[in-house]
Amino acid sequence: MLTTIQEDILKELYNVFVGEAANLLSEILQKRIVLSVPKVTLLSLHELNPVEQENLTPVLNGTILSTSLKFGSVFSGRAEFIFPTEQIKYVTALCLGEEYTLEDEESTFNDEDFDVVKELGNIILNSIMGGMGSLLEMKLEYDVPQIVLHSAGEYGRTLFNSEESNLLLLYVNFNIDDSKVLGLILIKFSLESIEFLIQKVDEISRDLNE
Amino acid sequence: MKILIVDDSTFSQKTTIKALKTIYPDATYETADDGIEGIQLYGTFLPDYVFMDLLMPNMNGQEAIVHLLEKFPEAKIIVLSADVQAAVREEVLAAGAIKFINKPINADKLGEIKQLIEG
Repeated sequence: MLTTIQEDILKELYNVFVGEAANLLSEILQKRIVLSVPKVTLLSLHELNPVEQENLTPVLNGTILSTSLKFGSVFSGRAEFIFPTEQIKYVTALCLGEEYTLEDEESTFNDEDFDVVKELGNIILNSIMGGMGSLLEMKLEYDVPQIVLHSAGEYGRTLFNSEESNLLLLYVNFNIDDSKVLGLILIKFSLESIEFLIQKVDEISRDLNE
Repeated sequence: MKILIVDDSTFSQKTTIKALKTIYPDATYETADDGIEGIQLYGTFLPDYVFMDLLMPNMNGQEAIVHLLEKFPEAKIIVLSADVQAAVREEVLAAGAIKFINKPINADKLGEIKQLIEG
């Protein structure tokens, strides 16, 4: 379990990293981005009951597109930019400077849509993880970003059946122009990396109290 | 002027060309999807400048810079990447890139590019 102080520091740090990422997103989309208060949860996934799993992040229950950036090796995990599929056409149109119509909403996704979301995710996740690496004073190695389309509920099932039973989840919801919900950013860390991160947070806490 | 964009994202290729066209509308642009294709295309297109992404499949940008400069020491490579890490910036500049720019390109960054190219 995280102490209140550890959670508060992690949340604030994440808030800063996500804030930087939101600025970039706003620049790309030419729209105001509104962020929710970030949530920081240290989870023992296998101990969550189905209701707790469902309430964790409701957006994960729908059909979603996720761009993930795997980082490692000393400090390892996976950062994900998760996106409800009903928003994809809207965001693609914004990125490409095209007009969005209801017909777009009903059409199927194409390679261009996936490519746009993947590149957005790449920029956002690099911004957040770069901040994290700077905090930890280490260079993070990344794999090429992956994009995956998950059917309804599939992402949640994968998450909760993950071999890594202990996960630190940092997540934030964001929306465009106060209306169109865009999705969330979620970072999962390995157990060793959680301990490493918490050590760093404790150092920050001690410095604050000196 | 001839400009080669090496990036695995078609969206990123298009946005980079669109942005660069605001300052160099008459330039000729070509694109490659990874480092290997970028090096091959360099030999036939002979661009004045290369805009290189870093995280790409098959051959990433850092490897491509090294191979490209081995083969074409005169190549002028500008890295355009989402990676914000200072260590990465230092590595690619040490490898021979002439500039590192973080995505996305905006008006300020276009100004920097113009200044770099025109002196």
